[in-house]
Amino acid sequence: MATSTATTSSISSSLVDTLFQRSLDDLIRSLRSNPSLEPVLISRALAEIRREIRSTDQDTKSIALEKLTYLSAIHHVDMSFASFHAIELLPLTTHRCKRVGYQAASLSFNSSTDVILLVTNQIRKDLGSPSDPVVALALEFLSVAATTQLSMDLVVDVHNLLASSRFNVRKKATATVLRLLLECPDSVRIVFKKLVDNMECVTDQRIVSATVGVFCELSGLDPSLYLPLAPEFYKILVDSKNNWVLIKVLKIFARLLPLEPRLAKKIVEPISQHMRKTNAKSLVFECVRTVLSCLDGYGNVFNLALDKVKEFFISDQDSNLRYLGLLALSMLKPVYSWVVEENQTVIINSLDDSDPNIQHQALNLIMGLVNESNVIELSDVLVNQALKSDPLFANEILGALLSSCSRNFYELLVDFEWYVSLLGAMSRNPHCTRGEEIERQLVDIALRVKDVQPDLIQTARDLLIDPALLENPFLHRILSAAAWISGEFVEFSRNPFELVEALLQPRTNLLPTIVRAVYIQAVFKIIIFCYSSYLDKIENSELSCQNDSVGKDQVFETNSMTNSGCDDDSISNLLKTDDLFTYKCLSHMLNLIKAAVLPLSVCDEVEVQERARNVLGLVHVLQIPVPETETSTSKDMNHITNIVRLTQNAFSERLGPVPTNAQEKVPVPTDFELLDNLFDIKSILGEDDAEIPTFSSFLPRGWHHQETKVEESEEQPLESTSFLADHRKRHGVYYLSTEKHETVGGDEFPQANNYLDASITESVLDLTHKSLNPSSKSKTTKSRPVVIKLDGEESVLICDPKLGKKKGKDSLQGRDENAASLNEESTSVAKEISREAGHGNSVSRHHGRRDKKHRHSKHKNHLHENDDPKDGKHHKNPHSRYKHRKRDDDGSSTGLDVAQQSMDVPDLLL
Amino acid sequence: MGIRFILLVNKQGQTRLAQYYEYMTLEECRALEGEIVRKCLTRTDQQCSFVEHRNYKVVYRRYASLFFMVGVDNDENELAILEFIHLLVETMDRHFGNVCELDIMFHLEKAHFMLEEMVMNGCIVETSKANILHPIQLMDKAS
Repeated sequence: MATSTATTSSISSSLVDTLFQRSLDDLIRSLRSNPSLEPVLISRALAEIRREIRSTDQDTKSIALEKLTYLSAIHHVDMSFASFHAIELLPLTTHRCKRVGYQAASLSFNSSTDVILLVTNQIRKDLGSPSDPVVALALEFLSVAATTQLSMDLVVDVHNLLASSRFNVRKKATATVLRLLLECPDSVRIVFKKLVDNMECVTDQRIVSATVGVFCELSGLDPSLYLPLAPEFYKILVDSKNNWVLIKVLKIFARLLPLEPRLAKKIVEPISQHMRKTNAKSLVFECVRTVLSCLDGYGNVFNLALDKVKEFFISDQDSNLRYLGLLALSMLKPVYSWVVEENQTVIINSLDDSDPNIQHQALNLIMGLVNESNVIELSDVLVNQALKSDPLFANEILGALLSSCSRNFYELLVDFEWYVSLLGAMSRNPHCTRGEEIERQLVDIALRVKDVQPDLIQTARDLLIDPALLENPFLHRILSAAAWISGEFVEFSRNPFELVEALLQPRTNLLPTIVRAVYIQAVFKIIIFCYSSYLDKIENSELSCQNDSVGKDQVFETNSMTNSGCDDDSISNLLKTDDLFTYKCLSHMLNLIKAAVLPLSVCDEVEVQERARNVLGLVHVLQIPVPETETSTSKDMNHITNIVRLTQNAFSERLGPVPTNAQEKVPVPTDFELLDNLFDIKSILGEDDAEIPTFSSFLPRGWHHQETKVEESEEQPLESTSFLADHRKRHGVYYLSTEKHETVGGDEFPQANNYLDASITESVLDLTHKSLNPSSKSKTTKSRPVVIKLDGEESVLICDPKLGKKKGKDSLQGRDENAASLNEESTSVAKEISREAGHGNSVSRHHGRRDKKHRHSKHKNHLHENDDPKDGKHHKNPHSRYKHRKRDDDGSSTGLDVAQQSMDVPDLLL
Repeated sequence: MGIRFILLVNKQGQTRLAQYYEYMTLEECRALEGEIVRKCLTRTDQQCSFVEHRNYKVVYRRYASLFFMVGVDNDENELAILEFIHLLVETMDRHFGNVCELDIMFHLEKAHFMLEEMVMNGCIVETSKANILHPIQLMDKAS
C-alpha cells in the first residue's frame, strides 16, 4: 500500500517479518512448551508484535494483532497501544482480517479510548453491508464496546436492522439495542416500537427470545415503564415452549407484580401449569422463586411451590438442588416461618453438609427461625455444631448466635442463666475468634440484668481458672471481662481465694498488658472484699458474744456481708457454711498476691505497673499482723479497719448503665447558689445545651455515699468550681460535647416494678413512665429477669444496636479505670477515699450500713429535702467536670452534678 | 446484564478463555480471575456449583480438566446457567469432536465465535447447536 513512502529498510524488515512471522499457533506452542519461561517468552513475543504490527502488509499486521489479542485475553498483556492498528484492519475486505480487527477492538476499546471516534463511519458502513457475517461483526462490536457517542450516532442504523428480513441479523440487532439503550437511554423512543413488534414475531422464536432478554434487563432498571407490555409478556408466558424465554418472562413478572398486584391473579394459572408439566428444573425453580417471593397469597400455587422445594430436598444426591431448596426457603417473607419450621430437620442436617455454601444458607435460615420458645434448643444445637465445624463456619455460627441473642436488648432471652453459660461454652470453642463480642455481652449483661450476676461470676470463674484459655489470643478480651466481673461481683463468689489464685496464675503472663491491668485491679477488689468480710465477721462475733474470745476461725455471719446493698441471702448462706475468711487464709492470700504481683511493679507498661503498685501498697498496709484474740481493738486493727472500710466504699457503688440523654433529664434544684463567676459559662457554652428539664426531683443513691460527701463537701471549697470555670473558659475546645454521659455509681439496680412502690415524687414517676418501654418484654414474661434499658437507647438501638449498647461498656471501663487509679474523676467517694487513705486519716465510720430501712428513710427524706440548702451542699462534690457541661438558666448549676451523681439513674433507667 | 463473564480455566488455574461482558481493566480481570479460581478450584465434586463472590454469583461446572465458570447477577437462574454451560460444551464437542483443552487453546477464535453466537450483551440469544455452528462452518468452507 504505502510502499512508496516507506524506506528501503522498512520494506526489507517488513518482508522479513512476513516471511518469517510466527503464527498464533507457533506462539501458543512455544508458550506451552516452556511454561517456566512464560514471562520471557511473552515479552519477546510482544517485542516481535510491536514490530510486525507496523508492517504495511495486512496479513502480517492482522497476524500480529491476532497474537496480541490472544496474549491480552489470556495473559493480560496491555494492548491499548494497538488500538489504532485494530481500526486500520476494519475497512479491509478480507473477512479474516476484518474479524481480527473487530475482535481486538471489542477486547481493548473502552470509553477512554480516543481513537474510538474514528470507527463510527466504518461501523455504519458494515451495518449496511449485505453480508451477514460483516453485519454480525459490527453488531457484536457495538454490543460490547459501544460508547454513549457511538450509541447516539448509530442507533438509527441498528434500528433499521430490527426489521430486517435476515433473522440472524435481526436477532443480533435486537440484542445490541440493549447496550445502546443502556448507554443512551433517550434512544428508547426510536427503537421501542420495533422492539415490541419483534416480541410478537411469530416466524422466528430466536427473535422473541432476544427481545425478551432485552426487556428483562431493561425492566430491572425501571419496571414501571414496561407495565403496559404486560399483555404481551402474558402471551409469551402462556404460549412459549422455550424454557429460556419463560424464565426471562417470569423474571419480568416478578418485577411487575409489586407495581400491579392484579397481574398476580392472571399469571397464577400459567405458572402452576408450567410447574406441573415441565421437566426442566431450571424452569421449576424460577416458578418457585416467583411464587415464593411474589405470589404468596395464592394458596394452591403456593403449596405446589412448597412441594417442589421439598422435592429439591429429597433429591439429596444433588447438592445444587439442596442449595437451591434452601435458597428458595430463604426468599420467603418472615410471615411464613412455619414453612421453614416444617423443614427444620432438613435444614439442621444441612449444617453438617460438606459444602460451606449450603451450611451458610442453612445457618441463615435457622437464625431466621429463632424465637423465644426455641432459642435454647436451637442455640445448643448450633454451639455443638460449631464445635464440629471448621474454624470459619464455627465462627460464623457463633457470630450469628451472638447477634441474634443480643438483638434488641436480648429480647429473645428469658433464661439468662443459661445464656451466660452459653457464652462460656462459646468461649471454650477452640476456634472462637469472637472474643470482642462475647466480652461486650458479658459486661453488658452484668450491668443490665441484676439477677444473673451470681451466675456470671460462676461463668467468669470457670473461664479464669482454665489455663488453656490463656493461650488463645482471641479470648483475651473475654478473660478481661471475666476478670472485671470477678472483681466487681466478688460478693457472689463461692470462693474468692480461688479467684485470686486464678487471676494470678503464672500463665497470665501470656495476656496483653491491658488485660493484665484488669486482672490486677480485680485482685485489688477481691482483697478489699475479703478483708471487709473478715472484719464484719469479727465485729459480729464481738457483738454476739461480748466477752467471749474471738477465735480466728469464727463463723462468718450472714448479715455481715451485705455490703453494697446486696441482699442475696443464698450466697451469704453459702459462705456461712464454708467459713472462708479466716486470718490464716487471708494472710496466705496476701503472701500469694505479694509474690505474684511484686515482679509486675517494675513492669514497663504503666497501667500494669501502677495497678501492681496499688495492690502492693494495699498488701503492705494490711499485712500488719492481725490480732489473734481479744486484741481486736488494738490500734493496728483500727487502722486496718478504717482503710478497708474506706477503700471498700470506693467499690461498693454498683454501676448502672446510663443513657446518653441522662444529662438532659437531670433536675435542677433551684436552691443552689453558685459563685458569681459561673454565670460566665453561659456565654462560653452557648445556647445549644441550655434545655433544662422541668422536673426538680431526683433519687439519691446509697446513703453512705452521701455521708462521705457531707464531710468532703464541707472541706472542699466552692473555689474549685471557679477554677474549673476559668480552666474551661481557657480550654473549652478540649472538652467533650454535652452529649457525653457519665456512669453514675449506684448501689442497686433499679427494677421496673419497684418504681411504683417507691415514694417518688410525681415528676419522677412521670419521667419513669415516659422512659418505660411499653412494649418491653420484661413486662409480659414473668419469669424473665429485668433487663435494664435506658431511656432513649431504644431509638439508638433500632438504627444501630451496637452503638447504643457499646455505651454501657465504655462507661463501665471508664469506671474501672477510674477506680483503679483512684485519682481520676470517677465518683467523688473514690476520690475522697483515696486521699483519706493516703493520709492515713480516719473518716467517720458509716454506721448502719446494713440497715436497709434506715437507708430507705434517708432516701425519702432526701427526696423532700430539695428546698434545704444544706442538702444541696451535701451533694456538692468535686466532680465538677459535669457541672460545667450542663448548667441551668439561672446559673445555679451546683445541683446539676449533684443530681448527676446522686441520681442513681433509677428514673433514667429502663 | 445476566451474564457478566465466562471463564474457562484448567485444573492448574490457567485461564484458557476469558470473555467479559462489561469492561474491566486488565488488573481487575487478573484479580477477579485469581479470586474466583482460588474459590472454585478448591471445591470438591460433592459441593454445589454455585459460589457467591462479591456482588454476584459464579456458576461453574467441571468437564475433565476444564472448569467452565460463568459470573452472573444474583437473581439469575443458576440452573439455567448450568444448562447453558452444558450447551456450550456440547456445541464445542460437536464442532471439535470430543473437545479437549488443546482444542480451545489452539482454536480460541472459534470458541469465541461460538460464544458470540450464543451470548450477546450478557443475554443468551441462541440455544440451537446447529444455528450456533452454522456461521463457523461457512467460514471454514470459505477458507
